[in-house]
Amino acid sequence: MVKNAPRSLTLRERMNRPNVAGYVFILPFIVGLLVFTVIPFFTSLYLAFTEYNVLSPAKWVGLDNFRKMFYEDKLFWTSFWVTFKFALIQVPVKLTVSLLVALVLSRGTKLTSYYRAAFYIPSLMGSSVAIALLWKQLFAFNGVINQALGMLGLPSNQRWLGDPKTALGVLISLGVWQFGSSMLIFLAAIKNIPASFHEAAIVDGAGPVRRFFSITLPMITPILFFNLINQVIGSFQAFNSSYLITGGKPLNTTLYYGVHLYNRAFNHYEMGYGSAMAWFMLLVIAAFTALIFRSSSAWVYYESEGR
Amino acid sequence: MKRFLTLLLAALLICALAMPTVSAEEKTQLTILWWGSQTRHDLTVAMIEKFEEKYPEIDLVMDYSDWGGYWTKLAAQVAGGQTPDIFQMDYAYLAQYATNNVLAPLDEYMASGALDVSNVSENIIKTGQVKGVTYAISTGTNAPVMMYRRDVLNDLGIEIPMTPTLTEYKEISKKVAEATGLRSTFITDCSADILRFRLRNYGLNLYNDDASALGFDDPQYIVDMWQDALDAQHEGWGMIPGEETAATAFDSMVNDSWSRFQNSNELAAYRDATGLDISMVQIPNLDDATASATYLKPSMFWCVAQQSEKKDAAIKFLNFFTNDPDCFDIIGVERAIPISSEMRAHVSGNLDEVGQQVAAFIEYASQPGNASPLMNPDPTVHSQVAELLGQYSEQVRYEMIDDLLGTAQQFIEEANAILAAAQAAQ
Repeated sequence: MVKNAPRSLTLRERMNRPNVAGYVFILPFIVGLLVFTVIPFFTSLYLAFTEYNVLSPAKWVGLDNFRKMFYEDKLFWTSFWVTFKFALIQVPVKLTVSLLVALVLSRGTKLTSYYRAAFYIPSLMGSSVAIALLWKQLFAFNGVINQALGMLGLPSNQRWLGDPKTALGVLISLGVWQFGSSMLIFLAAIKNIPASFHEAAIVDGAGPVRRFFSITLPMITPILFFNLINQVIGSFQAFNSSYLITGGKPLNTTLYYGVHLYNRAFNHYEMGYGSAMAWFMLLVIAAFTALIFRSSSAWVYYESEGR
Repeated sequence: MKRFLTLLLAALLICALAMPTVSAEEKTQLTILWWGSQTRHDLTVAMIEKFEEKYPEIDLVMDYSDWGGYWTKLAAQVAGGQTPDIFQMDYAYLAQYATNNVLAPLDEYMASGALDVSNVSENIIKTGQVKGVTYAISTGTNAPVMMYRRDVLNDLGIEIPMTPTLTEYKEISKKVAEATGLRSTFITDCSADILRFRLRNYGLNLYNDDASALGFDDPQYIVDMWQDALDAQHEGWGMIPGEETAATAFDSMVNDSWSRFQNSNELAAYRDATGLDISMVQIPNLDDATASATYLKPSMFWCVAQQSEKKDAAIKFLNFFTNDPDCFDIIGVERAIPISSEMRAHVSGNLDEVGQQVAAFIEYASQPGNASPLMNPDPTVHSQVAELLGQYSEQVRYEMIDDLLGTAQQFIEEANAILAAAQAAQ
């Protein structure tokens, strides 16, 4: 009787099942995902509807944080439009620059690999504090930029970071300078285009510009699409450059949404309000991403579709 | 058998992991958190090592940060249930932390003598009280000061009086700017602190007694402050916004400005960080002032966490800091002039040159007429009011605003609304 009954597995047998090893290997990731992403994600959703000063327990206030955001907090809309402007300028400029550099570097010469590394270095250091501080020094009133201008006999008293007209531009230039990762992705895509396409076009008498717009550009639209979405999301979430270089000044012209959120949450101890702001930004980013996805059928070309 | 061995090994491992906590029970482990400059960190570490030598049963785990990161760090630790047993507290945050039950009341320890305050004046103890309960013990007495570059003034042969008037300050600033290019950031600062000084000159305060509104209703006080800043910018001796080059407050006294508003206990830190001959005088008073802008205040406090399970040991540290000559032999007056009269007498004997200057300054400010009475702690929404004023002041300094009076009026209304809302929420 005992012989035929389905025997329950011993611990050893359980542990030896193939998928157990898999779970054990991904356990560190699962724990990290839960502790640092999933749990805080839902906690912040709850906190968005509360008043929470960190020191005492959160108090449920319903939609009050959102009412304050839309109707009372003047800096909310200021920071929203600053971020929008930042994204609107930085994303196209950065994509264009990275595509142009990728085009140049796609021709193989002896120095190409050296240049590829050199152009990628700013991105490696990209999000670091050191680079932001370097930028701050470069564009300081007595910084290298003004001194270089002075040596060339040009006006050297421009307040790059102190002038409301130029401050955001300086921060955008820092973002554009870190084009390395999108450039590398473009480069890989360009390299993937079969040489026969270009050869055929050359036989037909097409020049380089014509070949770029008729072959290269259409062939890399899926990658352009990917880079576009990445950059839009990244720009809306920008924080470091403003926080470290200008602190939102002058006259709030560089007050990114993320910096305003941080100030409210961590300087004024308004964690509930900060969470509400974060969730609003999530919805905005989702809307933009959806919009780009919707538009993609009109301009993104996939070979497999056989169009 | 193999299974038994595995179990045995596992049990051994668990025991081994548990070992450190067992041995730690012999020593009481306390966590301590403070903010400060490198000068303070070095002195405090040495002082705490001395404390551990005298109280071998107590082990202090040290953590520190700069001022900016401190309040984020402390709040995060409180929220996570990891409030340090002992931590530094500022006058501006005291009410907020006390009313949220983060701080342990100290009255019973003072009554029992565990925290000996027999040589501390009642007025100083009161500064650590919120609604009649003592939550914090002052580390020392200090005063706001005008730090200045003595080397620059000496080179130019200029003398600055110990209590300058604003007109005297302006005259010196003009001469310095003309000769060296160093400008004034004090006159153009236009922060809540500067407004507070100007109000105190007329016997007023930034907030009223229960902080339900601002302590004044005439916008002219703000307009005068703004007008002084604009005039200084136009005349070339006030800092133009955006032309500051310094990355830190210390740097600003090297490159940008010949003078700066700070606290008296920070003199050593400024000298150490800049390597320059920096000295200090009182905050300039307005020419028609009826009271001094200067006030004596607790420089900072030590607090014990309400949730700490080792309050007795923590109190030993507070008592060491308040009453032990060994402590002050190391730290001197870096956290300001000791509150215990006995310790004041002890340190005055063996201070270095900087310490003597700090002590002499507080002695001077303590003379009748040289300081006005201390105000209540700032309300919890002070940071919001200060930020609001900062926003308007920035617009004024960038000359985006023509109607100073109307703008000042608008600030007063908005600030009063913030204060009233905070009052209603309590």
